[in-house]
Amino acid sequence: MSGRDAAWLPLRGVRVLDFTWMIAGPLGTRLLANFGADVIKVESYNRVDRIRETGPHPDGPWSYNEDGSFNDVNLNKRSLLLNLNLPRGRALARQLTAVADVVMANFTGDRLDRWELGFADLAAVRPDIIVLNMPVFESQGERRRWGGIGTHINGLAGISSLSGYEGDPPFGLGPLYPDFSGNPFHATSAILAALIERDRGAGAQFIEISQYESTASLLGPALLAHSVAGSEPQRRGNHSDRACPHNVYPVQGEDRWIAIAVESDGEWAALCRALGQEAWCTDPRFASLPARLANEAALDELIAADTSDWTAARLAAHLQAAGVPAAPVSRLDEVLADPWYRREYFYEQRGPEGCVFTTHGEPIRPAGEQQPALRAPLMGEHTDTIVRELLGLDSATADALYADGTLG
Amino acid sequence: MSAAAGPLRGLRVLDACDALAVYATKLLLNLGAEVIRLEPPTGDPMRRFPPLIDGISAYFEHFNAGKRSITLDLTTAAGLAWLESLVASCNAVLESGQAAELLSSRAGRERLTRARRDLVLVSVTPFGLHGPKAEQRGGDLIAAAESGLLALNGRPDAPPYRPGGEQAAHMAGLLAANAALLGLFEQQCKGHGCHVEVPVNFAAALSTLQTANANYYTWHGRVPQRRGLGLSGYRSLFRTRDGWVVLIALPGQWSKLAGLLEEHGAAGDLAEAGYDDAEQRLARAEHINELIGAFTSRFGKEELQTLTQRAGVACTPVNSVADLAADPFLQQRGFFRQVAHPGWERTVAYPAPPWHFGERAIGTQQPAPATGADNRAIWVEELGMDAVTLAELCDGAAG
Repeated sequence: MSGRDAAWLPLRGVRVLDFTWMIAGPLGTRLLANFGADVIKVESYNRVDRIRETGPHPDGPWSYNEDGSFNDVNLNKRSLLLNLNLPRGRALARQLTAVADVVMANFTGDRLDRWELGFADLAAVRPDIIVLNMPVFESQGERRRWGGIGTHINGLAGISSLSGYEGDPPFGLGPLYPDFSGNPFHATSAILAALIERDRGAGAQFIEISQYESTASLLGPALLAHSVAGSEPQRRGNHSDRACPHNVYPVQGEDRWIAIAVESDGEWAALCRALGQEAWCTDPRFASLPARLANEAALDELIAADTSDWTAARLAAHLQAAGVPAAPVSRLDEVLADPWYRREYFYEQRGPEGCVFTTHGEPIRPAGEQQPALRAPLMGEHTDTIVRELLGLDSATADALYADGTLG
Repeated sequence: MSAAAGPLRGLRVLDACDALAVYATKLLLNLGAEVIRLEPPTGDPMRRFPPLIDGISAYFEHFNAGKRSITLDLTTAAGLAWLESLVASCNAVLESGQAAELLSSRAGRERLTRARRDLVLVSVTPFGLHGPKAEQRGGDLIAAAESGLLALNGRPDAPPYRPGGEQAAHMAGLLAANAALLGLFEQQCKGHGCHVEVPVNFAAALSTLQTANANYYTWHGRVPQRRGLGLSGYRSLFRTRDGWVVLIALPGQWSKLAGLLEEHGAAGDLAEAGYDDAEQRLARAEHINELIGAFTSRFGKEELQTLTQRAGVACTPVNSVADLAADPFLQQRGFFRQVAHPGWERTVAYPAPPWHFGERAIGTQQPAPATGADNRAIWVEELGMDAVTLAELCDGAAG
């Protein structure tokens, strides 16, 4: 999509100085940018966002501007190249803070403080600034420089210990899940709440999100149950304690599966009929949820014997028509081939260097419609505009700053 | 109640969410909003969700701590009229479930927005309210499967699995809270209302953005698969004396890891030429994995985390729920909040809100409410319902 005319932009007029990198921070500021905030992504050649190098990249000459993940998490932003290792660069960052509403970072915990861009420094130039820092552990204290990526946090925060099968090593998840869930979106929720409070007259606000705590928060019921009863949850694969059958079952093809989630006795009866197994309906082993849970292994085996003759797509359609929650276990090619996802979720955008990016859409849909988005910026695309319009620098001053490496 | 000190103090939210998005209203509550959970007169089915301890659902308790509770029979015209009176007093309504079962479907979206012109209405459904799949049935497992998230987890020789702890629903809840906050920001600035949707199956798809980035397929025809232990040759999971750690030498950390192994006489031939180059290291990944594994197995996982992190190498323990409960770091941060629980008749530890707003104490310190605990305060004292109507529309026995 190219234009933003039809977009819902409640954050128009809010400016975010975005020092975040990789995924967890930028995906959060992407949400703010998608809904109208002027998000200025600050990088420099001295400190390039590493997500530009993680891939995928298209064939042909390699470019910082053509990383698939980078372009996905930086939609709708502006790019400023500013070297914060130089005192003049830091002074310009403080000057930009004076015309910003929010500053966000996810470096090692005390990185902003060491740049003299800590909360006190920024509040001195903007008395109602909202500063959000998102270290893996903490901003101050012994662990302020301890780090990790999403893979670490999956293990650290307990996601891995709840996922998979008993007896297996804790493989955890394929995706760096914390980068896409609690960390970016707890951050934005706090920023949005602070903006509401700021507009009622509140002063400067420092918000800290420890990625460890923020991800562990997503295991709530298990943590509470442990506190009350001392119980360690079992790793239950695809099983559920309140629905049965609830698993993936083999279908035609190598390593192909269908997910089936029966949440009520009505859906159970519908599943039996849809599979032509009316006899299961009267089998006492499966007569109620507790009975089905007690005979889960036998039930899974019976269902798997029936599903393997079907293709995932045909069986999912057949079961859904009967009122049974079911879906193919889709891989990337299948998600992209699904007309609903293709039309309503993914964007295709031609980048300025030629390649066409396919990027993830915004799950928040105003009036049920896809929120339009503009492509991610080229590296430094807006440096000129920003230093002239927001900092009021004339050409000679700007040129000198390019020459000494402060800009760029 | 300390929740009143949060940034959303004074804003009222009506909570008609099932398990798909109940995390959203928990977040809004902990940010300071007053959250009113709407239950049928017979009680919220979530109150019977496992884990049940002494007949009390830890699931319900976690997601509803600090909320208020009212009941209402929505199958009657009188019930729907009272719903309108209530909505008139609410800044936002959040609802989740199958499309046909939503509050706004049963009561009529127009009725809700007529009751309050600047209402923020957020609807969370598996497949959206309209469109080709709107009638399909979904949930956490279905969203994880259809979005591509589930296929990425596990080892290649066992069935793939969903993330533990209902993470597709957590993602929907996170995005629904943000949707509500965007609407509330605009409502507070400009007096506008809005209706925003969050399909759970789209929310879950965000998590595949890097591992299964769409361009792997559109540019190269590559379809990422689950990989078990591997991270392109290197392992990330290693055994210690008392469990597992995740250890990855991130860019710039290789020499620090090699130095640490050297210091502990565990470096083998790593000091020799050839290991400086990342490509050559990858060719010897199995050998390197063995050396690292031999090193990590000498330590306990917490001890190893401290040792490696101090040396500048990213390594963390794989924690169980019991490990989290006992972690001095989380305790010192105030991650667990002690709350006296009347039903369990003891003080229990709830996970605290995920943010720190400076030194401010925000978020609830209350347990979840009993069914209809606030019926009298809200229906009778605030909205003027009489005793007969209360018995008819809100009383479980009558319902």
